[in-house]
Amino acid sequence: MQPSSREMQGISIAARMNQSQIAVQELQNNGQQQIANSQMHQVQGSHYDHHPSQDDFLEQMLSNIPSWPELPGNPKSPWDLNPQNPNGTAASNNGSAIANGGSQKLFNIAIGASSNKSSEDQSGSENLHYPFDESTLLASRLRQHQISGNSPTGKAAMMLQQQLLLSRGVGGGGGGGGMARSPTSASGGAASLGGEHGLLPLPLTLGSGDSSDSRLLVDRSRDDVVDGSFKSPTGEGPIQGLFNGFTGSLPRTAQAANQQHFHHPQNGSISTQSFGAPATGMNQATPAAGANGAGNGQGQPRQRVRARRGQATDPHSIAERLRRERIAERMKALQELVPNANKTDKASMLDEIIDYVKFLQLQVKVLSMSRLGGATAVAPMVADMSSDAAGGGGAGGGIGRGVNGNQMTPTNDSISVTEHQVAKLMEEDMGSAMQYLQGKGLCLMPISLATAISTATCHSRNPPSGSSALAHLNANNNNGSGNNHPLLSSSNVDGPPSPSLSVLTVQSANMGNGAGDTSVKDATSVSKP
Amino acid sequence: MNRRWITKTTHLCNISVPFAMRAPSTFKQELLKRWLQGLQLCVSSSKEMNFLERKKAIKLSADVVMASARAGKSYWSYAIISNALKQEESKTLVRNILGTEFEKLTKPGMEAFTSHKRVTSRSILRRSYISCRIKKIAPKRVQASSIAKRLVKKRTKVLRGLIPGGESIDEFSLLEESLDYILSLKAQVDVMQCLIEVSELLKDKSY
Repeated sequence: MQPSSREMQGISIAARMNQSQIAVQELQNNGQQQIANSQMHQVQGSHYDHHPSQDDFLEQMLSNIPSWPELPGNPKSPWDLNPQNPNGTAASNNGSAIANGGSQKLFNIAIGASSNKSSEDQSGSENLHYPFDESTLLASRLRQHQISGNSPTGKAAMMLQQQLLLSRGVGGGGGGGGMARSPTSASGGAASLGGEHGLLPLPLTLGSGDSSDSRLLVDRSRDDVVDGSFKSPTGEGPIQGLFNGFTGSLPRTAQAANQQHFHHPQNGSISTQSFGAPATGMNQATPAAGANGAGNGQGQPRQRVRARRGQATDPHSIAERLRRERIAERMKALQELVPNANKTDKASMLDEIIDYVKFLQLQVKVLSMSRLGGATAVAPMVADMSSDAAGGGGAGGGIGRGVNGNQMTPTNDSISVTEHQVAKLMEEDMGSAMQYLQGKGLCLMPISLATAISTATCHSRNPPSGSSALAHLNANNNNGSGNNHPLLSSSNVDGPPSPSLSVLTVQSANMGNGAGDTSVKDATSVSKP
Repeated sequence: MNRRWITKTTHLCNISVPFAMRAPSTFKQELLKRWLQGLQLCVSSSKEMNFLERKKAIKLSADVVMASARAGKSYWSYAIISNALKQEESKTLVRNILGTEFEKLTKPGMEAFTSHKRVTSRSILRRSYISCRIKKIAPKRVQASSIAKRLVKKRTKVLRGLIPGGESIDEFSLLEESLDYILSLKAQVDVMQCLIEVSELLKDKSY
């Protein structure tokens, strides 16, 4: 149980909790069949003196775990505490002790430095218990394995599953940090977590790397790791049996940690005793075993992953799931950036992103033009706008300040054509008319506002900055008349250069009043030019 | 746009920039600085430009500067620079703007960057083609998921067209690059607007 805890500590995803709870229950059910060893109980009970909060659950779990009489002259002497990493061991022991409370409690524990540090305070004495526990645990697992006679491949598949989940889960956490462009925080998180979780720094760097290069490389290596994980447990016979037996009775998530520890030597990362003695023993045994037993490993099918509830089984879908989760991370980060991004599905988010990028690009273009402050030919401008602003109409809210500096003098031809078009559209449907206008980069505004703006611009010598949707009013504007029928007036101004967006003012037929009265329908919807 | 104006603007902006851009943007300030330098180069290079050319020059200089500011960290910046280099008229301008960094950013490093990404995207593409082929064998009714997938694919294609260099990178990096690109576009817009305000103030004062 203990080794699993460290891995559990790394995982803080509530979604997994349900499944692991189910796993735990199954485990408990299995465990009921086993004989409880008082010695084991005692030994492990002393372990958890420091963590009274999880004691009851722990003891419940432990009582179900079959125990094995302590092996004298433990053949797996390498399983003894690895002296190379005393700190890591201590931390991991404590961490595992904490996490061993079972999956339910595990997820309630916050990840990271806090729990680790609290556990690190209590060290030392627990190290002594470790060899006992691990050997007995292992032996008990072996017995159970022999009893249950599960297929080793099933175990291997389960382990892979767990590892992937784990790595993905952590990668999700790390990825979120990375996307915030704060690699320091992500690495800090990695440091707090990863002292004991060998494979965890891998997905964390996956998320936090600024360049996609590292990300892709890491992805590759992770795939290799995943593949490798199949080989190692299928190596040496007795070790495999032990390992499978060991993993069989553990909660499923624990197996991921086991997997990861197989790769600690492979990855050259810190071998963090997460499974303590048996894991280290296996780590040291399997490289040798792997060299010898490579032939055995190939024979076993590697695709069999026992199905977790509600999830697919083969590596393809696992990879796809990984992929989907990575995309989801990035979508989340993008969601914060793009306005109106309260949508959750990918297609609409992509849509919003596209619109926003288009809008920003258009804004840059317009700003770069407006800076010049000279007369501009509108035709290319309008042509650009109509093609660019097809989708970007609604993003006008992003403009903090107005576009100014251009004097746009739409030719009469284009205006009249537009006018006719809009009039036609308006007869059928107001909405489509608005959309048409927006597509052209024009907007609808009440005539009163248009007149007000025009007078304001005529007065000032230089265009006031910060005003959007300024209209040029034509001398021959006919907006003053014809209130009883749909009216289209376009605006041009001659005079001092003034900022302008070409504006079509429309007065709907509904308003039968004098100039200036408008209904709500005619409220301005400024579309970005 | 004359030189005097530019220098004046520079001075004003250097004062006002920390003021106006309180939001955490050393990036913006750097952008502004570089862009003003680039603009000076622009103006000095040729006096006679009609409007469209000027607009293009400004936009190009802004883009190149933006790209150079994010050169180490994003893929699209390389794409912008390489595209700019491909066009004859902007080559010298780009070279001048980039200045010393040009050597760093030129072909060897960029190609390694791009080639690596292309390789990965190709492998992913290959995998997806294989899985698509397998799926096509089995007859399928039209499901909502497939419609959604088609939509997503269509939009991804559009996004690839928008983001410079988006054609040759894979989906993950596409999203990441778009994030980066959006951020820098925002910064660019802010810088431009600030510059406009300052120029307006200058204009008023000069009159």
